[in-house]
Amino acid sequence: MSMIFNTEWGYLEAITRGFKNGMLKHSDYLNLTQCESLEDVMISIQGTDYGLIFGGDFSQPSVEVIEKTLRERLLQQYYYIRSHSTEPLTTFLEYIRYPFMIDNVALLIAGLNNHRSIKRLLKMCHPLGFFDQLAAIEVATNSAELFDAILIDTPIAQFVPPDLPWEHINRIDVEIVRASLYRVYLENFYDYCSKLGGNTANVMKNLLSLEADRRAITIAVNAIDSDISPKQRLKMFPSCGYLPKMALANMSTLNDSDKIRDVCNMFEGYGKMFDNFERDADGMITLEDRFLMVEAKKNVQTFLQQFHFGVFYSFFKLKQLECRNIVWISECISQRQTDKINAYIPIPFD
Amino acid sequence: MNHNEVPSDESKDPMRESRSESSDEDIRCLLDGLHLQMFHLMEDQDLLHLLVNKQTCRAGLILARVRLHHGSERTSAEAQLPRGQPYKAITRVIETSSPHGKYFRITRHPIDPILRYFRPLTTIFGRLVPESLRVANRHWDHCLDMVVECANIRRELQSTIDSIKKLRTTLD
Repeated sequence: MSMIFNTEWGYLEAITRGFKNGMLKHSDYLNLTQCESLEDVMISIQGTDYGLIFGGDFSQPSVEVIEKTLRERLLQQYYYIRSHSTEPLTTFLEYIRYPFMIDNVALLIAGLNNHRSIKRLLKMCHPLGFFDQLAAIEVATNSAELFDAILIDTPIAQFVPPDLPWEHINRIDVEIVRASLYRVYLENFYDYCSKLGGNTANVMKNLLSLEADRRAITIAVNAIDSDISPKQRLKMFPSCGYLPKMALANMSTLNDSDKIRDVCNMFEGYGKMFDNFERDADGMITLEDRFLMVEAKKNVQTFLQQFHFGVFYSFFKLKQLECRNIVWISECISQRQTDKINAYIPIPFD
Repeated sequence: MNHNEVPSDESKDPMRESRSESSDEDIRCLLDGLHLQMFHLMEDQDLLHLLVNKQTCRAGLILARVRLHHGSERTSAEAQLPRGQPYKAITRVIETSSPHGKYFRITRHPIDPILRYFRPLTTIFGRLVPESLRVANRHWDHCLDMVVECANIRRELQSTIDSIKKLRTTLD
């Protein structure tokens, strides 16, 4: 497998490892946190592996400009790898794009329900999630047409659950639609990686199981005190995680974070994720932070093995996290609240 | 009046002068009290301004945190803000009269979807609102109370300043 892997994808794995080695280190983050203005941040970023991404133009420094430029670099790296890939890596890389497509579809549905213009909404879409029929969503005069005429030919169609009442999509909460689509996507991706076998299956099943558990627990916590029925909540929980079905069924009925913690602690030791964040009176470190730290650690560990597709998935996850960290640092500087600037999610490369 | 009596000059009455001095003294004491009250109100107002600023900054930072956690997973608020569909305001500021004058107060209607009193957070951002957004919402809700309190203090301060001006005119 390793010989076959290298002949087909060895170059791409090497390129990806090179990209990963160019990611920001602890010293780079220290430089960024000591910046006093957004111009300083942009200059510091240009001193890293990003290079002259701002083109030397600092006339309009803003968090949005920084975020957009970082995203463009991520896009370039993704499409470089994607354009040089062959099957089954090509399909694997497409799976990395699907969450962005789901997010874009959710954004368009929400925006169109609130009578926003499609041009404005398309500008808000993530470029990694663009597909040809995206703009055609506006043409649909009703929700049934949205699926039957437009989405059915898109990659999203395979993730629409059969029991989702698409004809009444404008009456369903958009977050529930997104969670339902994402569940099917995650399970499909899990099955695909399992079929690939070898190191890819081992690494990706580990990562996707954590993602599934993270989503299930986050949805359970966010649905506390809402009017979402337990049956609806259970439908949104991905089932490919480490948490058994009994735990998911139990969590879907709970309306208290302590009880959800007890369930998680019983089965997979996720209970420690809930610790400390209640004592953080400022509300800054939450459950999501804990999960992001664990996810970052697992994604870094992916690179310890060779000849598998997990390196591509982990690189893009880590790169997205790096972009979000830089945006967080920029926001703190922009809002002149630098006391929490070090609360970014550390990526443990060292 | 008796023809033998000479009319007295009241302006030179020593009793009148002492009465006038004591009323000036009272006015000055009152002025001192009003000045003190003015300073206290200014202090309260500045304190409230600081608190509102602190809460607003805190909530803004929490929103940035949500961006860190979710990235593009959360739909942009601009797409989700409702347009065209009328909602009834749950929180209203009402001017009320009291024996001490007019003041502002906040009233909060209970949530009642039938009467179109919706919960703003879940109506706008969906029913799976992350904890960070809820915390930010609470900060801004608290800001509303403080802003109304600030308006009341401002009104009282203005009334105190007007009283001081009138008393000074009286003294002069």
